[in-house]
This record gives sequence, C-alpha cells and structure tokens, in this order.
Amino acid sequence: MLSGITLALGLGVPKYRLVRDWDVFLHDSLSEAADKSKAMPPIFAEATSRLFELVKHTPGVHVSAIRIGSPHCERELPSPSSIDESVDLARNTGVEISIELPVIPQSGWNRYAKIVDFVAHTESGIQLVLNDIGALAHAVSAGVKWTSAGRLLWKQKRLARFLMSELELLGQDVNAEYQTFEPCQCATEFPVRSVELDLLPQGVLLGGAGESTIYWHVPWCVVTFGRICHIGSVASSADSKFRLATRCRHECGDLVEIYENDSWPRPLVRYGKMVYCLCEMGDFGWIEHPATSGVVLDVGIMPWSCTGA
Amino acid sequence: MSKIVVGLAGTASAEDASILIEEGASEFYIGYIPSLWSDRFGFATSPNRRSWRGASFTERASLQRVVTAAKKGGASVSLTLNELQYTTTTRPIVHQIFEESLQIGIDNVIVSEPTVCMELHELHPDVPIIASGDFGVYNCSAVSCLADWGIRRVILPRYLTGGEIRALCGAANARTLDTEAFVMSERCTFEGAFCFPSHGYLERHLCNELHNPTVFNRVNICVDSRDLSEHERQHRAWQSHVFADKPDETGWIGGECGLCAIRFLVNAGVHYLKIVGRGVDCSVLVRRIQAARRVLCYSGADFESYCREVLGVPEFCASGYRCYYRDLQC
Repeated sequence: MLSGITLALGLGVPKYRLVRDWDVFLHDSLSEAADKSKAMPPIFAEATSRLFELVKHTPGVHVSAIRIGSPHCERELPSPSSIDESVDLARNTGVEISIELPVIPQSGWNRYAKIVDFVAHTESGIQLVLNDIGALAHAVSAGVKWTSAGRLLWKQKRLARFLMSELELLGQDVNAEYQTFEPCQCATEFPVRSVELDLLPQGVLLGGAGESTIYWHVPWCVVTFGRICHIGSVASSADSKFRLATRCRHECGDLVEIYENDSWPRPLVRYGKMVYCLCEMGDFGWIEHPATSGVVLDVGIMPWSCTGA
Repeated sequence: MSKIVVGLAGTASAEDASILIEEGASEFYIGYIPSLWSDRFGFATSPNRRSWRGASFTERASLQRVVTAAKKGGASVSLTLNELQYTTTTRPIVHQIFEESLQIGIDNVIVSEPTVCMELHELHPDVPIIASGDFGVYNCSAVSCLADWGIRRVILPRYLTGGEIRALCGAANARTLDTEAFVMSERCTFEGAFCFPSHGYLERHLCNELHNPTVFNRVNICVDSRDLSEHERQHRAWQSHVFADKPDETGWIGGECGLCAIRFLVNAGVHYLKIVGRGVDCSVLVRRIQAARRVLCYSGADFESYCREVLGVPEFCASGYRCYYRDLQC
C-alpha cells in the first residue's frame, strides 16, 4: 500500500519558486493552486487538479520526500550547492531527500561522480535514482546505500494508442500479463532498494520486483527525448544549431509545445522531453495497486512561470 | 582496417549478398520475422524495430540462401532482436526465432534489452552478442558492465561527441570488446535508446509527424518575449533532414552522411563501420559501400575534400545538417 509521496521538482527552477511549490503541496494550498491553474494551458490545469485530488483524497498518504533532478537531460545534473540547499530544506521539513539523475555520457562523468561521492559519504539517507545502467553499476560499487532503478531503465513502449493496440493484438489483459522481469533482474544484478515506473500497465510487473519498493510517477509518462536540444541553440547561428554540446541557457523552460490529435493522448514537449499526461487515461485509482509503495508527483514540468494559455 | 557492416532488406537475394561482399561488405545484419511471429502479431508489432514487412526476411528458405551466400563470400550475418521491450507472450517466440536462426547459420545476435541479452547468452553462451546502438551505452562504466554480461561488441549510439567516442573505444579495448559506429543513413530525431513510441502504429514515425498539420494540431506555444519563429523554421529544416525515407540531394545516402568522420572513427579504434540498409534496395547499398570503401582506403592529404569529392554533391554538405557527427564536421 501507499506509504508516501515524493514531490519531484525539476531543476532549473529558482530556489524561491522551489520552496513555494513545495509549500503549495505540503500545506495543500488549494486556492493558490486554483489561481495558478487559470493561467495554465488546460492540460496542466487538469493535471494540477488531479494531483491535488490525489494528495487530498488518497487515504494515508503524506508528502514524505522531496526530489530534485531530471531523468532526461545531462545538462541538468544538480550542482553541489543545490544538493546542499535541498538537504537543508529536507532537514528543516522533516522529510527525505531524493536525487534523480539522467543518462550520463562520458563527457559528464566527472560531475556525476562528484554527486555519487557526496551521496555515498553523507550521513543523510539520500536516495539516488539512476536512469543509466553504467551509472547504476558505478553508484552501487561506490557504496551508495539507497539506489533506485529509474523509470527510463525499463524500456516499455509508451503512448496509450500503441499499448492498447498491441495488447489487443497480443490477446493480453492489461492487468494480468503485460510484464517483463527487468526489475527483478535488476534487483538481482544490482542491489536496488526501489524501482520506479511511469506507465499504467507496468503495474503488473511489480510482483516480480522482489524486495524492492515500487514508486509510480504521476501525472507524466515519458515518450521520448534526445541529446540534441532543439531549443538550447536558439541563440546560435544556423550552422551551429542542433549539435551536441550546445551551450545551455535553460531556454527549454520557456517553451511548451502541445500536439493535439483525435486518437492520441496529447504529446507535450517541455524541457526538451516529450511526455503525455496520464490523466488522459482516466483517474489515478490504479496507484492503489497493492504492490505500490509510493508515488512520485512529477511537478517539475509544470509551467508555473508560464503566462500564456 | 575497420570492417563494413551493412543492413539487408528482407527482399535481398543471395546474388545481392554476393555483390555487396564483392564491393566490400564484411558483415550483414538482418531481421527475421517468420510466420510463428507474424501469424500472431503481424509486422507492425515487430521483434526488431522495423515494423514494415519488407524490412525483414519472412521465409526461412530465402534467409538460408542469403546466409549461405554470405558464408561463401567470407561474410558473417547478425540477427537483430533489438526491440526495446518484449512481453511475456513474445519472449518465448523470440527465443524460437533465435534458435531457428542459429540453425540457418546466423553468427551473431544484436540486442537492446538487458534481460533478452542475459537470456540469449544463457541459452547459447558461445554465440556473440552485440549491444545495439539503442542499448544505450553512453559511458565507460556501461561498457564495463556489458563486458561482464558476456557481450562481445558495442554499437555506439548515434549521438556521441568525438571525445566520447574515443573514451568508449578505449574502455571497450581494455575489455577486449569490439566497437561499431554508424557512418551513413537513418539518424534519428530523438535518442534511439529512449524513444518509446512504436514505429508501427502511425503511417510514419511520430518524430516526423509532429510538425505535420494533418496529423497534429500544435497548440499552446508558450514562450517568453523572444521571437522563436525563425528558430522553429530551422528546427523543422533540421528535422526534415534526419529522416531517411525522404530523398536527399544525392539520391542514395538516405539521410545523413559520416564519410568525413571515418578517419577519426578508425583512429579512435572503431572496428566496424555501420551502413544502415534494412529496407533499402541493393543498388543503393552498393553506392553506399563503394563510397565508404573509397574513403576507408584513402590515405592521402586533404581528406575532407576527398570525402566531398566522393559524395559528389557539394550542396549536400553545405548546410551541415546532413552530417552524422556534426562536432567532427569538416
């Protein structure tokens, strides 16, 4: 059963806003959230509304951890100072701290290794969520005590239309057979304490995860992303655009693209990643699956600074 | 010298294989979707990331003829089982396809999923396993991890910098793993290891439909005060380049070209150069192999100019959007 909620905050948000959003969720300031929702595109307003319903109406849950980091972008590795601030914030509010890390290309390895070194030697029990097989292997060998297998390690197909079509074709019951045993395998290969997922039918594989704790991400499900940041090179000349190693000024946070289609959930692109909202697949009742141990509220992608609608 | 690996369409014949070997191909990779799969799941649900019928062999006899021709010419053949995910229903059939392919004479198997990798290795520890470019190997620690799992070769992901390629090749050499790098065609918009939608349930791929107004209506573009319209126009231009089905100026490259990166790749220690080709006609593959072969054999000065000469279409190189390794752009 649910034991808690982790509030996930994407990087690139100023500290004051991070604290403010935390406050909104921690104290359930619904009126403030409602005001914000009016300025959001409908898909965000709906997601926000569902999240508050989840926090307010699911019995026995409470915000138990705060998370920083991004699973998608190598440029968004937390800095030592942002980790320090988060540890302080967590300590002051009596919750746990969690850091989610993206795919780690070799060029970013040194920065990653410093984070692992910090986490391995800190006295605070920091959870490290890893989405890269090499990084996971390294973190375990470096002595990080609380490693979690991130949602990108399980390469499940995303987008509801695909899933429903394929499941029908395969003659499978969403709630019974759509499973692989990578989490179990991973728990064997690496001593992960928790496993994270972001897709509805993945729930059925939870039984194979051994002793691992299971976390679900809501409301966003990852569709895809790439190392080429198509927004990060806005200021570059044409011949320098859309290359690797483009300098990052976090332009990606200024742009939200929503793609509508009658037969698809609406893909949306923000911070360079494409996601869709699980709200469009119904309510969140499924998170009460017996194997679920926690929920990660993925608010980092919310356009709090967005004024257009 | 680095070897040339070429993808073969399911329509390829034994004669095609012989011609390609004569031109310089050392290895082929293929998809195989026998009726035990297609009768149940069709082709849109694919075991090898190619969701149209012509990309994979469907008859054992025709695959057998191609494999025999390859062996006769001294080339090896790899089976692609590189889907990002298999279900409990499809997994046993993947095992059957693997077993049948070994009987046919397949030499290697290409995988993208750790579990399948471990399962196939357990079934036949002697069969070399190749980590697909979509496996997601981005750092030396991952290379080391795969070596521990019994993998023999790593195909480098499409989007790596020169420095990263050099580092990964060094790590692979230290563990006696071979490396393979893309040099032509079918660069993706997104990262293959993290591209989760199916290729099979749209007429074209999602990444290329995003800017198609007949498929998606783009709404709620929320930006700051900057005018991004010119940037977006250029992004669409770039995105239109990274799609292999669109004819390019050469008529045969099929998207992107890494000819002028070949010398760097060889010097970095890459053992195999990959030319994408599943779903491509043999005559096109011949031109691609000839170009790669000429560049590979060239040891003279002014290498970049020579590569452009081999390509033969100056405007192809002009935008830079056609380069497979843009940070190595000449």
